Amino acid sequence: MSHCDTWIPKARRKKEKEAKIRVALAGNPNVGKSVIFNELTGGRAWVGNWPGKTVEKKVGVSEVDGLELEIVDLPGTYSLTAYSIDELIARNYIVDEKPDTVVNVVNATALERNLYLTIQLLELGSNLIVALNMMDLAEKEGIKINVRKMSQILGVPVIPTVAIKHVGLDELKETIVKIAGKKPKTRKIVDYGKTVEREIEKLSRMARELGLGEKYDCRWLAIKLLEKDSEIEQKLLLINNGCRLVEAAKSSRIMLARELGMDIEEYMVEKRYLRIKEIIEACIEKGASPEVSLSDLVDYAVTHRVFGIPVMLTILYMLFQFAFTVAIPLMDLMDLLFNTYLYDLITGSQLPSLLKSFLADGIVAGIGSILVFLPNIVLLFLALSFLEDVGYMARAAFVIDRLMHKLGLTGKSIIPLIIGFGCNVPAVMATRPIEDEDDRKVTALVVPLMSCSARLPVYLLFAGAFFPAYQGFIVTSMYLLGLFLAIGVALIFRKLVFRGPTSAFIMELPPYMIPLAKNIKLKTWERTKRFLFKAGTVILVGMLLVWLLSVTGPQGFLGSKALEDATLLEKSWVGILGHLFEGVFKPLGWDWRAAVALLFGFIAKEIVVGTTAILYGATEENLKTVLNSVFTPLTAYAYMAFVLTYVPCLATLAAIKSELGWKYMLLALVYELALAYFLALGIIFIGKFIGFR
Amino acid sequence: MKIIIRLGILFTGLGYILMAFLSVLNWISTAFSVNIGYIPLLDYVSNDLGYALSTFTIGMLFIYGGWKGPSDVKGLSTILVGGILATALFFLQLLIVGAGIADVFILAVAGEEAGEYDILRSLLQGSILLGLPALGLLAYSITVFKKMNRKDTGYGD
Repeated sequence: MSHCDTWIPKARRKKEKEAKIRVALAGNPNVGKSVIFNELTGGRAWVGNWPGKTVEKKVGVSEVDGLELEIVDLPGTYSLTAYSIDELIARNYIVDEKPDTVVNVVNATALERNLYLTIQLLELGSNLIVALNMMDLAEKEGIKINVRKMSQILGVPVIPTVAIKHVGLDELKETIVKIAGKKPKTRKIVDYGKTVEREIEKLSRMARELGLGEKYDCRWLAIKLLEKDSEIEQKLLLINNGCRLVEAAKSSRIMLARELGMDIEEYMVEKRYLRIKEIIEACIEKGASPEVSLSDLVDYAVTHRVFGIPVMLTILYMLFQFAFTVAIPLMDLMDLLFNTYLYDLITGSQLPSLLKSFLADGIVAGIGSILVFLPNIVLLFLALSFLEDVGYMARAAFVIDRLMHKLGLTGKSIIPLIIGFGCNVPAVMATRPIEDEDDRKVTALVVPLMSCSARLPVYLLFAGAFFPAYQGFIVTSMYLLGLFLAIGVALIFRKLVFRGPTSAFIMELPPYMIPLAKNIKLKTWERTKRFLFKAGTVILVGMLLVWLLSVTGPQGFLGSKALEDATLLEKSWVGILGHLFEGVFKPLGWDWRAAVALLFGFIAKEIVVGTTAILYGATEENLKTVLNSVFTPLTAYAYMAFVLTYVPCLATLAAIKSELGWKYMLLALVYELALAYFLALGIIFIGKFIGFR
Repeated sequence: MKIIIRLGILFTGLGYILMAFLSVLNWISTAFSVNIGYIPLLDYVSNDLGYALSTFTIGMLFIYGGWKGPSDVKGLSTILVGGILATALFFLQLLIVGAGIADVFILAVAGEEAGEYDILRSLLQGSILLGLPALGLLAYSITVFKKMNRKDTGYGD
């Protein structure tokens, strides 16, 4: 029986440090690190931020023979340089927090790339275990790895695993416990040659003399100094006599560059790869590998120059059809529950009229109109998780990357843009690994144009009301519009504001895999939970605010009748606010209530739906009919495009402010408002010109 | 035999292209209220432009695969991916039919007004009818791939 399913309550987490084993999970992206984390912790984790950073930190707990394992999932990185935030976080955690064990998850099918991080972790002096994951795929590819030999060469335990099938994970846990108390040995995993080794030794000695041996592995420190690691240099300059070491390293670098005839950093990278080649040659017997792997075979068509984008659009279309059409009976169930039974139950009760209005028109009509879309959202998350775990999302990024490069944008922007389809807040944060500052700013500024799941209820409402036969197509068009607008705006920013070359980008395509139902379920639940939490907090408060401002006005309390009587509603605060903006939206064919819904959508985009329901005095049941009397298909489509484009929600603005500062937050706010307005105007103008109504 | 399989792949591809064309016609007649006369086949395709794009993509993948032949890696790849997409569309339509039936049932039980649902017409959609040979092509492409990796000599043409 596995012990990892036990969730340790918060109070117990505060146990004495000695009583638990602290484990860090490190590895390249897409090696199955998250699967191992979920398998070890039973999928239960608490999520926070790394100190002083907005990068997500995942911590989970597991138990082995009564011993508590605290497992920290480090950001996925290819190396441990100081060039990106993720790499800095990973290495600083290992250096500063000194976990008892570091588990390096390695993709057994791509050892040459993965062992680079292993080498760096060994140089860092961590108490390492190598989890050789995806062994089944390696075997399928005819790669036979001599695990014992690899363990001997690296000087650390090497455990073969197939994480998605839970193979090797019990052995991994036992090994963690076994080596946790041991002091890591200082290893010389890479021999950098006589001349360089002499300088490494000299600098290591100096570091020891300065008393740095307590905190750092002195050999690693010397290597980093020779590689001109800016972060290490800055740290050393803060300590007594640290500048002596920095100066000595500088002299060594100059001397070595002269003697070697090349840049020392480049030389050391080359030496590490040569060592990796030796390790691979010693440990791997490459058997009769298939002529073409299944992944390669699928990839030919999926990433094809001509077929790639149509295949992606087809998958996207099917994804939305699945989320919308298949969810219809479940939506009807939710609708019946909230807007018929619950609403009728409250309105038919003997409660005071104010309380009745508060409960029925404020809470049930507001939250109910959003929760009715819960089945769509769950199915969408389910399909997205499936595509992610199969390995398709990386291909989609690759296909779009080609287009982006043609437009002069960095391919690295793709990852945040894809994340933006889920939620814009983590997407803005995901711009951090982009090294080029201009590329990072441009990407963070256009991320809000990606259609996040919060906008989905708005699309569903309007697409269902005005385009019932083409729901899938209309919603897909919104997602594509967002993507193309993001590319277009980024291009304009690149040409006008942030001029300069775009950085190169290497994208890894992980092998296709049959996803594990447990992981998909977990991912879907995590995302749904966030949506439900938002519905119960921000959205609920927003809805109550809308209700309150609708039943009160300068004359005081207007009563719940204001929601049924249009003349009375116009006298409420909401009415006054709406009329203030009415003139601005008149050319777009929207009335003041639509303007108010947009205004409240600033809190969270889902609120647009609930506000619309409250202001038009409708329930989900008749909302579509009411909307048909106010909008035309053309103005409704323009409204959807406006919701897609106009100001990001408060949380996204806060993320932009935190990442780029006030100036860029204001820029995002202003340009998006202007873009949304002119886009909606353009749609109406062109639509009318073609002959739409 | 092999030429028959290639012809089968090509014809399935052409079937999907025809479906895409009909779907566009259907869309034009609905979206722009254009009278295009009665075309019986229009009853068996969706009037969604996204559907047209999907069937066109699947059709092109099959045609390319049929043209290159399944013994060519590029040809086999497009047949395989076309087969996967066509199968997904096939099951999606089955799910949609299931959802339609469930919806009518739920509304009827709740005493709400439930419209009629034509099960037979939903099942006779092009994506289901053409999905059957596409399923066969998917199975065939997997078999060819397995043989290819066993280095057998008797696969493809």
